[in-house]
Amino acid sequence: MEAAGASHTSPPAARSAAEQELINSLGWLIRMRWFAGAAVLAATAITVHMVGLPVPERPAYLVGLAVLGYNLLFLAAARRLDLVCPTFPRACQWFARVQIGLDWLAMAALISLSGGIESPAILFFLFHIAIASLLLPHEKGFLYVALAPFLVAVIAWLEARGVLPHVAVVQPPRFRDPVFVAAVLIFFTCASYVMAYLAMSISRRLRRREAELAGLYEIVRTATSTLDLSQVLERLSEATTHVLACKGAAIRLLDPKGTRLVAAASYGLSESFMSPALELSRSSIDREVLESRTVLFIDALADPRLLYPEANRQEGVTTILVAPLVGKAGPIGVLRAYGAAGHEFSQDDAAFLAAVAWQSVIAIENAQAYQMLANIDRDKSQFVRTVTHELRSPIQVSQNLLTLLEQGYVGVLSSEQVDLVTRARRRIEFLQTLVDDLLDLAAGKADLQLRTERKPVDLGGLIREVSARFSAPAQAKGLRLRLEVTEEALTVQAEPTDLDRIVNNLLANAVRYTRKGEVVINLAREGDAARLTVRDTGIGIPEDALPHLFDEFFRAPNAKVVEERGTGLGLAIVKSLVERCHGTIEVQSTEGEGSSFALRVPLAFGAAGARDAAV
Amino acid sequence: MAKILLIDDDPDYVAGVQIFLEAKGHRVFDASSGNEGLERVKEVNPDLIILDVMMETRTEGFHVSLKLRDRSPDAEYAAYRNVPILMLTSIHQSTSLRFSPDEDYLPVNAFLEKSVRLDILLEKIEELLAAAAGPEHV
Repeated sequence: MEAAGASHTSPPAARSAAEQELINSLGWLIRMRWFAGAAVLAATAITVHMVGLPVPERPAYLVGLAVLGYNLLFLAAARRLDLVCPTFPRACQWFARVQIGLDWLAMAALISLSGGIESPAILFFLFHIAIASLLLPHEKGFLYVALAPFLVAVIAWLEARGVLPHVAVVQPPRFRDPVFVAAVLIFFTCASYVMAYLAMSISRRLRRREAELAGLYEIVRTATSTLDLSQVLERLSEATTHVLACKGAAIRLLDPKGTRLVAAASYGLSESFMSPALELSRSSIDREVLESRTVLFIDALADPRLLYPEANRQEGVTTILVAPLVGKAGPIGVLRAYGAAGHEFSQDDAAFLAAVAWQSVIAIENAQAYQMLANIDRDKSQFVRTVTHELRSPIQVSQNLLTLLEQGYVGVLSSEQVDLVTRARRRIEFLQTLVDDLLDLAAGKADLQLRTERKPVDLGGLIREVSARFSAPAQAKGLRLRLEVTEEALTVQAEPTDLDRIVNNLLANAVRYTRKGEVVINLAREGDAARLTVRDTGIGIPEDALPHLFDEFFRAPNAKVVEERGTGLGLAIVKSLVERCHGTIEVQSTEGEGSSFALRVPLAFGAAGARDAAV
Repeated sequence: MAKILLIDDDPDYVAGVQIFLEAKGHRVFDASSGNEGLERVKEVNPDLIILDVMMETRTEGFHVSLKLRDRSPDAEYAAYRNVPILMLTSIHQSTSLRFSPDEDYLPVNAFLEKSVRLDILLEKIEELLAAAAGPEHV
């Protein structure tokens, strides 16, 4: 657990695949070395005691023990290295070099102890060369490879000169025979380099694949991290350019008619190069790509199908890779990668671009679908507002006309006629309230972002203003309307009409549903918020109605008894407006005893803000 | 008794307001578009203009008011510059006015939501007429 926690401190994403591979390989090298050290000890024992070769026993054991000993140090160092990984690349490279260097010295000692240039152990060097080729950066790998024949040559030279004792494992000894020595060195050098070349080219291809996979993963991640279409496309172009290490990349999308390919995003390319839209009917390359659904390699200067070869020359583009973007409903565009002079795209690149194209289509279609939903939502809100606006006009006019009839402006009506007209007018009046409420609800929900008329509102002043409206109706019912407003000025940031409507609706309900007693409005500070409570001694709210109280069109059964008609939108509007003020609202009630609505709205300024405002 | 010009393209609204205001002793003239309204201003020389905002276009009423209140010396409607204008909006206002008369931008004397009851409309009309008549009597 400890180690897992520690490795989290350096995010794995910060390492390239090759670096991660190096870390893994170093661990593997340490594990293998236990076997190598043990094998040296065992081989020495067998060679000396069973085969009877004159290998110097003690130095050979010492080499084996030395290998095991320094491996123990490496193990400890590797554990520490994992902790200090932020300094990763250099530290790890050096760690690899030290390991390989010591191994090669041990190898040289073993070769010297087992017959020098005549030793069959020389072949073991090839394993080490393969390991070095895989682990070390390739440009330096070839230098390291040269060290192996060099070490063997030095041993041969020192033995021939008598500086190092020669262990005669082969009879007759050949270590002073220049032809033999030269032949062994030449063959060994050739074998070393062929081995290094093979190992390096395989690892290079593997690393490239890994980089592409990581790139593809990165592309998918970045492209799906936003739903903004233009951002998605920009990121895709940029990531493609980086992974393919080419000059630039661009995405062209078909216009709604499907006849033109319009630049949607590009990276590494000039605006003038990208700006002309391509007529699909004229661009046979894009047609071919979209029809065949394969990636095409284009010689950007000489391909006869090119529409603007001159533009490529000016932009410095010499080669182009074109991949189709094909969605669920057919072609949607093309993804192109551009190479500058000297760049050549490989088949692997083409496969990679095809994979990116495939992922791009998913990201593009996601973003488009999201965009469409957002548009639909906006249109819907607009529709609700338009419809309700349109409904208001005929309602107003009908109401006016019925009022004229009712009040006898066009002749005196019989009492029966007046009764009917009055009923009709009341229904129309209710319809008007409903439409107004719907409009408020739609406005509250629809343009959260659009309305920016928020300004500091003094809650105390607002409460006095709104409650004044209700003093007459309250008095008419014999209710006491009481204000308990704190002396402290409490300012909140909101649209004044929103707060007005909230307090208005709460007071209207309190007065409407209270038969006797009082309605109390309390305003107090509560931490960084203003707390406004409207409390009444009214009919209260049945317990099972409480959870639905703020639902649209909901009316508690006892409210219907008091007042037959109501839109059931008043509290839904309150709730949506409260949310818009970043506030909360709670209700407590006991049926038959009264209700209390508590509104909390954050104050406009914290303590620091208030000081700023005072300055 | 005052001469009131009602510029509104909704004949039913006009009919209702006309009956009501005439019953209250005013003379009501009507026009169903901004251009017709401007013509009738010269013809009728009204004491007050009731102007709907949304007619053929959503802002037609605004343009009519700007022409009537044009302050350049050779303005076509210079003679009617001081006729009070009551502008009717169908913008829904649950509480206070979203925008109020502005000397330059919206040169009208008052705004009223079109859905107000007729008696409130009358109240406003009489207030404006009194204000317009006031200075002359001083």
